[in-house]
Amino acid sequence: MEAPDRLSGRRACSDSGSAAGAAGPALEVRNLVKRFEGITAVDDVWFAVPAGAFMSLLGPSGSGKTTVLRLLGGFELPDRGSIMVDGSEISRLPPYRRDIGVVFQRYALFPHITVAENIGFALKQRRVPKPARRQRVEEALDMVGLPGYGERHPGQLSGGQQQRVALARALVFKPRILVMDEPLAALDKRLRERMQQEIRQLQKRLRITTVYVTHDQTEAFVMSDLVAVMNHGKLEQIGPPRTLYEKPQTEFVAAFVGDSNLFRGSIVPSPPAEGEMLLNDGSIVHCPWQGSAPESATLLVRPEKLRIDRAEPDSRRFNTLRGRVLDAIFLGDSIEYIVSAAGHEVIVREPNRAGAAHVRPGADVLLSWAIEDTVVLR
Amino acid sequence: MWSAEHGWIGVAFRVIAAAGFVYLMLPILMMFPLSLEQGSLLRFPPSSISLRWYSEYFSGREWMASTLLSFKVAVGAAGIATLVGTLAAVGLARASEAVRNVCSLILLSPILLPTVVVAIAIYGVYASLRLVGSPFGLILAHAVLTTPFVILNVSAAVAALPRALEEAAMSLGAGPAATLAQVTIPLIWRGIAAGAVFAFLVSFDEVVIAMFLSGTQAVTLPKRMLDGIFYEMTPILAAISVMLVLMNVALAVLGLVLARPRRP
Repeated sequence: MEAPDRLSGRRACSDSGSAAGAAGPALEVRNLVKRFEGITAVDDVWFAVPAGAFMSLLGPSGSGKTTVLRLLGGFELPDRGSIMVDGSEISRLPPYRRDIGVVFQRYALFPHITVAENIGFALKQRRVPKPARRQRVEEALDMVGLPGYGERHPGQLSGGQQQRVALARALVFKPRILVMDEPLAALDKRLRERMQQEIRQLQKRLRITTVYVTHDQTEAFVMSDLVAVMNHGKLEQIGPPRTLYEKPQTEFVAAFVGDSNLFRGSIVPSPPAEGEMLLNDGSIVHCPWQGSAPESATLLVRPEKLRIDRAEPDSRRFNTLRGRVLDAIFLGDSIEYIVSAAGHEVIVREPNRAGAAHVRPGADVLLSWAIEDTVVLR
Repeated sequence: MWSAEHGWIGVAFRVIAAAGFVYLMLPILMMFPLSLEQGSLLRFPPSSISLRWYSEYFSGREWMASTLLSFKVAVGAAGIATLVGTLAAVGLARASEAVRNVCSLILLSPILLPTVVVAIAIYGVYASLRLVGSPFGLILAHAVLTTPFVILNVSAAVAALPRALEEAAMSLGAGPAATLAQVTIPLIWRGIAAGAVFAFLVSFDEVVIAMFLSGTQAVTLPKRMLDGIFYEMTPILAAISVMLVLMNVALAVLGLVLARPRRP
């Protein structure tokens, strides 16, 4: 098994990250564009990460998230745009002048030298004297829970241990920013979940501004202060996990982050802050809406916001649709119903507890949800 | 694969394979009995067995001088080729595809063109620079000829090296030179060593360029052997050939072992 998993770190890297309360974000990316042979891998991306925050770049493969990370690391140069760290422009600097710690997808530990030499590599380049180097390497090994592993070679370590060494190596020189490219992708589920917690705790303790690339929505939500969702090279939306889930702005974000029911139709404004939406099948639902003109739109209702009701609920607070249960799937903590309603196959997730509706396929049901749980996507 | 279970087909396959080996190896193996002839004529089977021609070689002043020269030239040429070829291979791996294709063609041209053409071209330049007959001139010419072997070996090693390792080194603060010295070269040294061994072998055996450039002063071992065929066709050539075969086999095996990709 792994070495002791407690993060018994001392002050190895405790003064990394920017000074708390400093004006402006620690990392700011503006108008970033990168093309590869006619393909726009990164298309006008903007974001800012406050000092000490953990931001995930979340997206499917090919969405450009890894290219953004490579632009941050300096392994690619942007065609346009700027990257500012603590207010200074770095997008044209070579990687060895950027002071950014990078954890690579497959760790990229140097196989020909020991774990201690791997971790001390950055200190050696900075001409830190040997005794100080040795001490900082030991502190870094303690920090990632691998004390005494310094004399081993990377090939003698398990995947999780290599991951920790890569993390220690990227942090030991107190970089201004830490970037990580799907660092847990190669680990099994249990170890991955534990490493998520460890990395997050370590990051919080060191208060190091971190950009973390992942395609795993749960991982991004578990770890991040901010999540930036990317698709086709564009940044679709950036915000705290809860905002992305409750108030997605685009269909892509709604569908990529969690399960979703989408209804298409057109909205007619009805002041003060509400609209009536005519769904394509003719049903009418209410939704929070501040527009002034009729507009075609898509509504999002998350599966757990929906209820299966026996009696008609208060129509001032709830939307209602009639439907027929097509399938019921027992998931343990919840029961998922597939209900045909308003011309859609609607997913309804009922918590598994006393009083919850238990209906069989073929039953006619009332679906309802709170008006404020309706999200309008444009 | 074929095996004994395949009956007569398996037997036939083995017979054909064995015949192929004999066809390839027999002329070389013939050198061993020929080199043991006591008399002054190449004769098979040898009339009487002796090591006379081996001792003639080791006591022959000119043979020793040529052998020493060949070693010097081969070491010098392999040294230059290893330095130039390694840097070229590492650089080519990072160049854009268009640059890489054009530069590879230029750098590999010494082994793509007929050697005699390369030899005449070098001779033309050397004649005016008074480099004909100079060991230094031979080293330079052989370096040109052997650099492609280093490039091919090192390129294979570089291709097997994950790019992320060099990127990791740079992200940790190592500039291009430090990355090359501390990460790239330690991880591709086997390819470099294999290239050096093959460069040495190619230079040591090279005779076409040597014919043009040796003059009367700098006669390499293969050149002197060639002269020997014209002037004194004795079993000493067979004796030297046997020793060359043994050295080449040993070095080629070493080179192949080094060039074999290692499991990370």
